[in-house]
Amino acid sequence: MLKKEFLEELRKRLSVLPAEELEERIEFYSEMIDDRIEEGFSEEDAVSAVSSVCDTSETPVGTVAKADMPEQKEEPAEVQCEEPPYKKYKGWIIALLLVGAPIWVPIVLSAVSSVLSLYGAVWAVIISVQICFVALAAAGICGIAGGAYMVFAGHPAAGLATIGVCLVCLGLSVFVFFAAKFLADGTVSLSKKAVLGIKNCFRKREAA
Amino acid sequence: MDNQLKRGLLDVCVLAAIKNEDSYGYKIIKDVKPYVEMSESTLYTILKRLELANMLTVHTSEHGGRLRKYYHITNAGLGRLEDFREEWREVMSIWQFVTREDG
Repeated sequence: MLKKEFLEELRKRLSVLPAEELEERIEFYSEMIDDRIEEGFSEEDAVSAVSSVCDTSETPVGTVAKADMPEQKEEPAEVQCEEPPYKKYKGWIIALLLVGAPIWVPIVLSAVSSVLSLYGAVWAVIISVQICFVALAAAGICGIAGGAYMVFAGHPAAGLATIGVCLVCLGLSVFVFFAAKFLADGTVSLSKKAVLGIKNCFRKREAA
Repeated sequence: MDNQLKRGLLDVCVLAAIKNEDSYGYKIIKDVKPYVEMSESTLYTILKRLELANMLTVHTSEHGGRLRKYYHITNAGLGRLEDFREEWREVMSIWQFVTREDG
């Protein structure tokens, strides 16, 4: 028997397990077979070695599945063949959701809009800092040009003072540039993490 | 051998197999094989039990173009091994008492 057939058969035999638990077990056996193949076993021998450890029945798959089930029963925390509570009371949950909609819908909407406005405010700050950078850089460059003109036009003291102030502006603009970059990168990274977290939350619920 | 006793021994065997370095399922089975025979399904159950008891943690690493789960012993797991040494000193002294020659 090849790995794919073995795992498919195992999946059928263990279908009573919750989806997450089932996938974990399939991955575990798949890894065991791959490790044996990597060590030089043929695929068939690797499958046979994994499935025949407790060989007491005719089909190797049956053996593994049977070996799995009784041991798992000793660990009630791991295997729960009953339907999860939320599936059991699905009808009640839907009814409650419908009845409570006038309360929870506005709450959810206001929570979502609060989060979005907070997110918008954060980006507004970042954009403001970026605008500061542009303003400082532009003021610095234009001011230096203006200062030079003043020097040549016969106002050397005022011209040099302007150039000095503008050099300070240019220096500040470098700091502001890195501050804006740091804020933008941080916010993007946090946003990605938040989106991934929300996605994983839904995935876990689907798997359960 | 008594099932409860065997279960406890298998747990410490698995912890001992990952004591010095992180290890993966197949290697654990190979490492404990000279001392005790353990099936894949048994190992899976033991690893889950130890993980739930916070005696080991699991992390996934890329190996040869695929993912492999590695098991890492925690301080609680090391503590369990230390307890086992103490417990077995007592057991051995009882064994000596039980098997002593009469006279």
